Amino acid sequence: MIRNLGRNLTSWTAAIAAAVALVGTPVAVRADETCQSPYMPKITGEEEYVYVWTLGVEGLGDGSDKLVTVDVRKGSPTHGQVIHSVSVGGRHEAHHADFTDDRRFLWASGLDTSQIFVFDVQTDPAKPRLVKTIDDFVQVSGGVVGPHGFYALPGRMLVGGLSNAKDKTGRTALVEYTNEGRHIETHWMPTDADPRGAVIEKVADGYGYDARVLPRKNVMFTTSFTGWDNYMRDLGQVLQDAEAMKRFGQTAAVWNFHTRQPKKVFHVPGAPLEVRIAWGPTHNYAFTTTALTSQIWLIHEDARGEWQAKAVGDIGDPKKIPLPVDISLSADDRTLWVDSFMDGMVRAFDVSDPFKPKQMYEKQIGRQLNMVSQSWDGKRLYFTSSLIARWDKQGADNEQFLKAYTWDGSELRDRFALDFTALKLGRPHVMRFGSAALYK
Amino acid sequence: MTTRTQSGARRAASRALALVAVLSVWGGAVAPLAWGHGGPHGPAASVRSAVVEAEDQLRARSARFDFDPPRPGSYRLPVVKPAADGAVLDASGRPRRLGEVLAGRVVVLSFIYTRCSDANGCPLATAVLYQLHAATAADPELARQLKLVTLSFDPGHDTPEAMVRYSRVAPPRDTRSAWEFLTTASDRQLAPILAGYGQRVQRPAGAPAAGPTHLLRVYLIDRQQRIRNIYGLDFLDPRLLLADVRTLLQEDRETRR
Repeated sequence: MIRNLGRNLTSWTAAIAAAVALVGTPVAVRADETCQSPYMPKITGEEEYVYVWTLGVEGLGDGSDKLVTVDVRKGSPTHGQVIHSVSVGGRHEAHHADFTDDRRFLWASGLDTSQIFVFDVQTDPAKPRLVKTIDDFVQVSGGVVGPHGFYALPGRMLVGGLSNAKDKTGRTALVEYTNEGRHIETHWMPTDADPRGAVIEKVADGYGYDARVLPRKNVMFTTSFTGWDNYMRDLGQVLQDAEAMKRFGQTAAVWNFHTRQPKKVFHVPGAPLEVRIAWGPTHNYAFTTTALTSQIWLIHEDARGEWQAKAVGDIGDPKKIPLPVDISLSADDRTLWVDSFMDGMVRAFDVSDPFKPKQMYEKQIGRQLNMVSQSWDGKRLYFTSSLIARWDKQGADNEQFLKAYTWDGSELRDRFALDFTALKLGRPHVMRFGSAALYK
Repeated sequence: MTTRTQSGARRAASRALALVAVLSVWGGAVAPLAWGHGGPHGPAASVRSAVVEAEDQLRARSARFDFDPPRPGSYRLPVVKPAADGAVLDASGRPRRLGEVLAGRVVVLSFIYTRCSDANGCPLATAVLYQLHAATAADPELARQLKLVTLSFDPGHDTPEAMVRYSRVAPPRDTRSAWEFLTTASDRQLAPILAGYGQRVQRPAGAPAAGPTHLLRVYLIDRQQRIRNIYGLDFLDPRLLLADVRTLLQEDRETRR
């Protein structure tokens, strides 16, 4: 058959074309954390380590921001324990972190000092090493402040900013780096004054928060939070300051990813934060939630091929401002986990019909709650407590923990819990999964 | 527990597809026969037919790339970093510098190893380069300005002779662009090239026959030998590559004015 194919160029071309077309529908075999860049290698078994980017607390331990390794290997004598921590010196408002596309390095940032810390997680995945510090982010980016999220692209890192050096509001940009840490380009968020070709629904505030890509549709989604002048201020003061409350994001945007050109700015009031894109091969939508208005929003492609944003449900009682923060979408696109900071609750929504989320479960994890990470099979969930140093609760409500659970489809069951204050570590924020088997 | 790189992730499921791609690409006597002896319709008809098919594919949306590619020149491609140089061997075994191979044209560079059986890996990259190559047959200017380069990262197996066999994917140059097939003399010569491009390759411990695992990477390089884009599996769309190549060519024309 192959020989016959080979005797005719047209057929041969068709064979290649067929192969290309067929391989376009790959079978996904992954068991990694959901909600990560699709460009990275994936863990196909269980995670072995959870890396926790942790804010330092003055007078607690060494007082510095640090990357903490928690052992979650099955059968390990140190399962559920902290087995390593590497401090970066000083407090930088540790927040988010993520891997490069080759998954050899973890980039982690400080929202206050705008420094980026690069850890080698390949050489010894149990003991990440700080190998590089980028301390000229503001200068090389042209005035972006508060490097926030990291999103792996082939050979590059996409860094979403939160603020700017000029006025410290939420006006900001996306910044691209090579994996080696060289600045490539800065893309400022579209504004009313400079929409850069985008259609604006109501307003283009130029604010930023998350940035995620759906390669199949060549689109990127961005959301909006607030600037340095708010996130580095006591939350109680911010909430009582009417002018400060006006300086929260009220937009999400869809971009042409390949050209990095914004196409449309949606009006999504109340600070839309994390973006979670559906994985299904025909699921052309993403979820986000609004911190101040406690709503689930769906960004979706309509029948005409246009992207739209629509509020599709409430989270708890919005009047009580539960403050939804991190979210996690299951790999089958059926369950959306939503953490809310103020009431310490996690709620699971059935989002089989993305236009009609139905809450199916809730549990209070602690007195305050922020981040959630789930395994690809949906069976293991991890939670941490800290939002932002000046926004965390005070006194006894200021619990700082990592808690691990198993999910059996109806109940979250305890696996282990770590008290980051008792361990003199600090305020745990984002979690990322590691595995030594990635590098063998 | 097992892990796989992006390109190796679907190996088992895609073995049959890989066979199609690899053997189609490899098929030894395949392309020269078709191009050298056109039969009753002559080579010109075969060329036209192949070009029409390739061009059709370059226009069509697919489930994998469900969008219209951007108009060339309607966007900028930033400089990512310098394209690394290094010592290579061409398919005749002649030692050359990679920088010399890259000189003078816009280049699409693909790292592969010829034993790769992952349909989402090297065969896919080579098939996409084939589509670009076919597209240049209908565009003499593109054919003159573009060069395709396939470089093996498996020098222990991919000798110059192996690259000659693999190169039969590329029909002899008629009106198409140049396409060079390179390897290196040793892992030692290869290492700085891989490091310079950031092409990750791992050789599984204890299983040398299995071949290296790697992240699928294709690089777009301008005439100044600077990397202007890097493509992984999720963006290895020949329509995007073609739009990017034409964007660089338009940039060149504007610079010369």
